[in-house]
Amino acid sequence: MKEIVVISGKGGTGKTSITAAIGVLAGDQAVVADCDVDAANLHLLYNPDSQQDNEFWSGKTAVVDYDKCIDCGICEEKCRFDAISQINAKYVIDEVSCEGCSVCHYLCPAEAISMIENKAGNWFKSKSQFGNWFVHAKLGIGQENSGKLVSKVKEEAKRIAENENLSYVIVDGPPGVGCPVISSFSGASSILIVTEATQSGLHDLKRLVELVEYFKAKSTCIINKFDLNLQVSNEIEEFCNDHKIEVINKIPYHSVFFDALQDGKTVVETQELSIKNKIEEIWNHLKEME
Amino acid sequence: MKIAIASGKGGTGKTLVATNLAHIAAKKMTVNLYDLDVEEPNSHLFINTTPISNEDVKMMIPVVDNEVCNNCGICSKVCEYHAIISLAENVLVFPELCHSCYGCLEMCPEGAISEGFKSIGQIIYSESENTNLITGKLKVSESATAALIHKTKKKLIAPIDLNIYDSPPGSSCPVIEAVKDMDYIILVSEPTPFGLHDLNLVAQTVKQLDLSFGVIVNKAVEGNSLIEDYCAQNNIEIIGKIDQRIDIAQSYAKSELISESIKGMDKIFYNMLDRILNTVSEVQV
Repeated sequence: MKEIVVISGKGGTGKTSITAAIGVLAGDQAVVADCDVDAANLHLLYNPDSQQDNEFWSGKTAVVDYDKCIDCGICEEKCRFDAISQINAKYVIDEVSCEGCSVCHYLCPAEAISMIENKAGNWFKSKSQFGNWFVHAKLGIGQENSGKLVSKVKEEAKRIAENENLSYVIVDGPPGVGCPVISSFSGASSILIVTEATQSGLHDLKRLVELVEYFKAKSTCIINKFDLNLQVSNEIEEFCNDHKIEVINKIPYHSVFFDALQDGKTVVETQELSIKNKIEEIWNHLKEME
Repeated sequence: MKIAIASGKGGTGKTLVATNLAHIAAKKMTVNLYDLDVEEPNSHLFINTTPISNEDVKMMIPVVDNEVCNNCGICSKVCEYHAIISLAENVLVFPELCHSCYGCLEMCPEGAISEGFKSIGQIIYSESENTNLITGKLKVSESATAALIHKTKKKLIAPIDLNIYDSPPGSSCPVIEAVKDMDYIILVSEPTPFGLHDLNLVAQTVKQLDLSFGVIVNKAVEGNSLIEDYCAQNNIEIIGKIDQRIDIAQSYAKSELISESIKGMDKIFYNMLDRILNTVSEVQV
């Protein structure tokens, strides 16, 4: 089983549009996983029938029992996250700032603080309209994206692929270079970076490659909207060349990405053959890679 | 006055709006532009400033004195993040998992744990006439995104008329850290099903925080009223629109400020700024 993780550093480079289209071409040979749990979008194109809806519990929040509280203020003094303050002569916990570290719970001399589990979100195991198994998730409003839900989605996708003897797991990764991204590509057989020919795209690509190299992971690259700025596109190619990252394709700036989205379709379901051919080339390349 | 720019979906034009608004505002007042998209900070590519200082940001991690430690295991028991593991013979610390809560240090009955430090990134300060740019830059391989945002915001340069905060994408923890104490939030969206879906998520988050906000539609296309319809249904103010145009995309690709490089765009940003300032003063009254 091959696990391909698509990431971009910068948002809006076309990562999800391209991942979705590759997933359609892979069909029932692949499990597709949407690991961008903080802003999941793939389900908007896959029209999944949700077969399993699972709650995901992770992290804790402190709660004060005012019958026991003796107003000593130790909790406020010891909280490193400025999550406890005195309001109207009561010590109040700001749930948004509380990191669930339990320090106040342990240090309260009156044992007035308890820790409750958070429901961090939901994850779903579904079948897409294209016949793939599709695993996706929804982080709860205001919950911390620690990478744990990302790991869960990936783990489930891999389990399905193993049980059903499928060849591919295709992962739509989160943006940035933080915790969720690291969780999304750990253990991947290959990483596909989707960048764009803008100065911001190049800047973020450099940071993403630094991260990928830090974890000694193998990656290839697609330059989307390459004709927006040919000079930047060339700079990206040189940069990739220096870092031994193969640029497997370059896609022009094309309105079909925008138009297909409006119709709730992937770009391979449209009549725009030039872009459809590009995605087929990419998918064939990924299949042949070691 | 504090105004954050957020978006939910990445790549909708948060940085484009933040940098151009800062540039236009700086013609009439003093501006601090904070780049809080610390995983991928890009505002500095658009704003021409002179570097002033560069501060290393550190967080506490526990250091265990194995001579004093009696391997009681309390440190691993109290750590919610599995960042400190007590084994039979010694104690292992995993700095990348540590949240610097000081729990192990507080709870160790032998006093065997002391403060050490890890670097999580930098706060870079630069300036030009009327504009200060304060950039938080997370060290690659570090995951303390929200902590660095918290520290970057605390860098205050007084006295300043307008503070603009370019926030991270998404709608979870880092965004909340960026926007939670703002006077007003601008959500930048694009008229696609992805843009709308993520706008709805981040709008719910800021509503839950009881903050006032409005929407800028970027990459607007004639005849497409996806975002306008949503805003009308939910009683959300639309502050302005920026059209989907190839010349804007090309100018952005070169890291230009479109309010300088493209004719007529300055007026669009002036109007948006006026509208925001009026709305905020109404909110404050």
